[in-house]
Amino acid sequence: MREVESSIERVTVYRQGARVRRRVEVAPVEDTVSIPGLPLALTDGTVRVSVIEAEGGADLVVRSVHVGLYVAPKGSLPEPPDEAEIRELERRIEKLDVEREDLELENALLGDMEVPARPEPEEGKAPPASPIAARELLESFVHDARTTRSERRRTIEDEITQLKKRLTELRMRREEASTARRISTQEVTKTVVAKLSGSATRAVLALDYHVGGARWAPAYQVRLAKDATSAEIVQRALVCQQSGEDWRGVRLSLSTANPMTWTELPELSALRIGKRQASPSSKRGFRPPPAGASQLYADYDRALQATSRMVPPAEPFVAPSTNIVAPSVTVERQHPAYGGGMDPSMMAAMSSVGGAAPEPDAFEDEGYDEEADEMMAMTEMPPPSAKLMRSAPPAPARPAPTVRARRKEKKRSAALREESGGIPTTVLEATIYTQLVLQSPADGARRQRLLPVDRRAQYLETLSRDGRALDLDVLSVVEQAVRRAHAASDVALPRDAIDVGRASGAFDYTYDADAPVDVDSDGVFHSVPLGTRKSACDVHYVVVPREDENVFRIAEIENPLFAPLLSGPAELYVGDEYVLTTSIDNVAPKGRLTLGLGVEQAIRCARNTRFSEQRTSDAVVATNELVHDIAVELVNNLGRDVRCEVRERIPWPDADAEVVVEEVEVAPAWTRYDQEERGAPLVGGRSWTVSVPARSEVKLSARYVVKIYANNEIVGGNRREA
Amino acid sequence: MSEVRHFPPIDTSRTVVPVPVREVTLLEDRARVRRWAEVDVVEGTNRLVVLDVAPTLQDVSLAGAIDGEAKVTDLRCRRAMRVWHEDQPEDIARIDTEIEGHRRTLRHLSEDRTRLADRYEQISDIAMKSAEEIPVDAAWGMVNQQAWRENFERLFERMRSMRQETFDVYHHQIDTSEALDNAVLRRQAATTTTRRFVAWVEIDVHATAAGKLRLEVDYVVPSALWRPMHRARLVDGKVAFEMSAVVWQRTGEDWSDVELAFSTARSSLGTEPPLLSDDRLTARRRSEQVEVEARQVRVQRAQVKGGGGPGGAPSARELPGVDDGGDIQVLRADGRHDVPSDGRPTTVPVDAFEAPCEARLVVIAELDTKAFLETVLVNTGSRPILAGPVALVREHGFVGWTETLFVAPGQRFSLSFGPDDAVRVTRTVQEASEVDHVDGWRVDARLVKIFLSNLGGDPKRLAITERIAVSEVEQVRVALLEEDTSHGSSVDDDGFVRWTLDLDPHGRATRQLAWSVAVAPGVEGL
Repeated sequence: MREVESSIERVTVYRQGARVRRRVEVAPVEDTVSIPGLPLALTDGTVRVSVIEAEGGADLVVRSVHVGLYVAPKGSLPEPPDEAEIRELERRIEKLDVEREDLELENALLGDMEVPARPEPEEGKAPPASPIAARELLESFVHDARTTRSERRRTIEDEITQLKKRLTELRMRREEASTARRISTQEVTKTVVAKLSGSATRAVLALDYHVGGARWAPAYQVRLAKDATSAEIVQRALVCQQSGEDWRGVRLSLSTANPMTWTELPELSALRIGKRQASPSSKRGFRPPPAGASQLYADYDRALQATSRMVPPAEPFVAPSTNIVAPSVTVERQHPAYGGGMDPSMMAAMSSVGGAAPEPDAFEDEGYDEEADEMMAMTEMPPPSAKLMRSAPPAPARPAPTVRARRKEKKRSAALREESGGIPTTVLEATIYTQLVLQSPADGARRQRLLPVDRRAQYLETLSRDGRALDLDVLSVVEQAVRRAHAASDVALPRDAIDVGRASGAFDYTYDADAPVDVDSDGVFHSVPLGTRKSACDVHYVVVPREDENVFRIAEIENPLFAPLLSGPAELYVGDEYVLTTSIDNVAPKGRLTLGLGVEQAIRCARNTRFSEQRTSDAVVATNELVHDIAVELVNNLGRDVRCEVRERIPWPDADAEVVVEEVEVAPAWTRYDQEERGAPLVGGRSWTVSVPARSEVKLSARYVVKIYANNEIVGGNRREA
Repeated sequence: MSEVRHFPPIDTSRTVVPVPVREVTLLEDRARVRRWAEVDVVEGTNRLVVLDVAPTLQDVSLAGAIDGEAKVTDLRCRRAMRVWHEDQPEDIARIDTEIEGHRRTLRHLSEDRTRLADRYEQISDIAMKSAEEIPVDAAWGMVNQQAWRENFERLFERMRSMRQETFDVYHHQIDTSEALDNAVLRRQAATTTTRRFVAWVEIDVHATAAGKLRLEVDYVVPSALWRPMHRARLVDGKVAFEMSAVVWQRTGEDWSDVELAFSTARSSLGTEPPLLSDDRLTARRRSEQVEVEARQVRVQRAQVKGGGGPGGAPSARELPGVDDGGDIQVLRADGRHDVPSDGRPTTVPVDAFEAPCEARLVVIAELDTKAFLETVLVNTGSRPILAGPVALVREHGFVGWTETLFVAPGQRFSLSFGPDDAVRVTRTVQEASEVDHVDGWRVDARLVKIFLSNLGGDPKRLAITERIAVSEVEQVRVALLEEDTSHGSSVDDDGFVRWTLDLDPHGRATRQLAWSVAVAPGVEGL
């Protein structure tokens, strides 16, 4: 099997999730190719490998692919230091500690030597002379002895410090060596193993796979020329992913569709409506599996049962138990005459020096793990005293490590068996025979049946470990990676951005980035450029004088794409100046995008109204005519002609109201305006579109008449204009 | 030295003859194994034995034959548990001695520790008592600094060395205990027993003359089966179809260098024909209520055999049988093959053919909003294609799995090569219901819209299928609403509505279907 390098070439981000295409060069071509370094989060069932180019044989075909785990081999592993050396050091330190403690004890013993009192005189006699000289001699003896001991103690302490330094060093090296030998979660990647057949010598393969959680949202920059005659639409996308691999220099495609998954062609059956009755059982396409094979096992079972009884049970070798008590490093003075106030715990410590049983409760406060129970069974330890904890290195007090390790191993393998022993619950996508294994005939419940190989075993099979320890649960590691990848779909979108799933309609579109882009796997939205398109731009002006005299500048830009511009935030620049951020709604292909550019100060608008009420009695019934006159004046102070839209509104009668509205004398003529594009439909809307020449003015006028019965009045007042 | 024992013991007086497996015929749930070899026989009764046959063999199926002037007079299968006692007596003895030695050392060390502790206690007592008494001596004028110094130094020196010695002993104890654990592990490893259930065939041959004769043994074993598996590769409008057989066996004997045959014959189909039951008719008064139901009816196409079976792929737990179209098929694999008894699949190629195909994109939006590449081809091979999974390969890469049913030679069949990534389909359904006030009929109208997008740069030709219901009763009328239905459609008697549509690169299209179901008053079930 050959390991080959691969690099990401193209990524398609869907509404949810992404499809990654890697390019793999294989030279020379071998039967089995392993492509390592893939993210753990990839969905195994979506992996496809195909041949793009083949040299020296067009018949190259990828026969099968399967996904496994991979750990890169390490070039050189640090050698662990000699265990015997560490142990030797620990023991030397321990013994020096003991010697120091002994010297302390001797010192204390000597120091406690009292200045002797003068002996009591004999009855009725004078006391002997004060033994000053003897006391002095005694004192000088004590002093000399203590000085020598103190000096000796100092040398020992220095030596201990030296040795401890060396020990720490060695232990660190041992720790490093063992960490380097352990495989960490970060090192595990997925690998795709592809089986090839054909006579090609060199080939380029494409590896496709799906990762969950990636997501995108559209965003734009609109750059208008200063004179607003042309525009540039910079299409950007906000992309977020946490698949575990950075996309660097990839060709990015963004799709509004959902990712495609492999499914088989469904078969449409006819729908018949008829009287309800019991339906006859339908025939199956496959023949039912043959029955009766279990009877063939009769002879086998009988013989197996009979012979199993004959075989004597194996006698396991029972290990003899050992019980070693560690001596205490400290020694307390035993004579009650000295020291005086000795607390009970110290008494206990003293009595244990001889080898009394320790109290198990004492361990709980010490922070030993649950293994303590096991350790207890093997080797009894002295109960801790304050001094012991300080001076005794823990290693020698521990039980024999080989035994402990063996027990742990047993425990772990038992757990593993339990998990993999049961019938796996995973259902395969299809009956893939190559993944099924026939069960043993000795297993009465499952023999003659094919069961899939479980995923853990499959993963472990492909894992190359080069003598390094794997103490992580592969399935949970993979699961975690998938969960992390999917978490990217819960990341909040930046302000104004709209999820692409909501932004697109019934049709689906793809948008390609013009240049390679980078998207890191960090679960943050990255803004990447897709492309810049030039477009024609048209500027006109809109004023709604009834509500506001300001004239608004509106840019109309044609959508330069074959696909719609999806809803999203747009940053607007005029010239090179940032104007504002607005959001745009879906714009159909070749449709027009309107963008408000703000108020144009150079165009002024004035609106004046007049109102009069006239009673007419020409007809049979007397009516009141409410005449409204509107006069709008537009002044263009710009050096060029402008096209300006003036929006107005006239009242309209309610369905049952006895009111008539008539438009009379509108100059120039206006048109109906429904305001649909703003999402606020209007019935009585009217609009003028006029051209205002440079440095000149235009006058617009309109008159409408509201007719009501003479004895009626309009709710809210007869005058409808300010 | 490893010891092999058999429970019950094997008869060692027989002559062992090597008769290897030569030919295996696999059935759907069992296999017929044939062994033969030339064996030397002597005149008179030959007591022969063939070792290591599959313990799963069915005793009654065991048959033996010998040619020439000889006769098999008796033939039986015997089974036993073979127990390997993997141990080296010298090793065990040595380790046992070692263990005993360590234990003795530990005992001695423990005694030494106690002795040392006692002695230390004594001496420290001396030191302490002396330290108590010296000041008294001094007070009484018994001053001998030299003696004090010497005595105390000596006492302390002894105490210290004793403590050091205690630790030396302790360390020795630890080392010994570890060595003991190590020895125990080795001791446990030295005595492993493995068991294997084995079988052998005892054959009594009566020969009239000595010579080399061909001995044949055959038997039936379970725990061996096969299933067909295929591979279809679509290249340039042609499909290369390879048929193969997947074999699993765990009979207890490895088959190496054997001829393989695969059969759909069933020896376990039963001996009794199935029973018929009466269809007794009774009549009752017609109820005013008409209860109707809509049911799905699979439409068979005589000229084209469909792809997947109903209900999708069968689950791995319940492997289906092999459909042979009613005609027992026996496929022979070329050459000789190895099938180890490990339960893992072994793929054996059987046959192959290449045929031109018609390919088109099929959209059945009601069931799956995807466009599927469907190919229709003819089985131009000499053998039928048996039902089984098909690995699909397009151009140069594996795309997925599908299934095929039984296809006879010369028969047309279809294979789906999976969804086309570039064509996207969205389907919406609007429903409206209205009751006519005059006649009481309820009209349920349905408007189905299919939106098609071509995301790729190539034009696509799509065949779209929708369906309307077909009524079998007069109380329910189904109508196609022509004015709201896209043109170019055709409706057949089964209610299938079909369009053919060309989608430009990056193009979009919509098709809609409107139909209604009018239900008479009093009809229930819709």
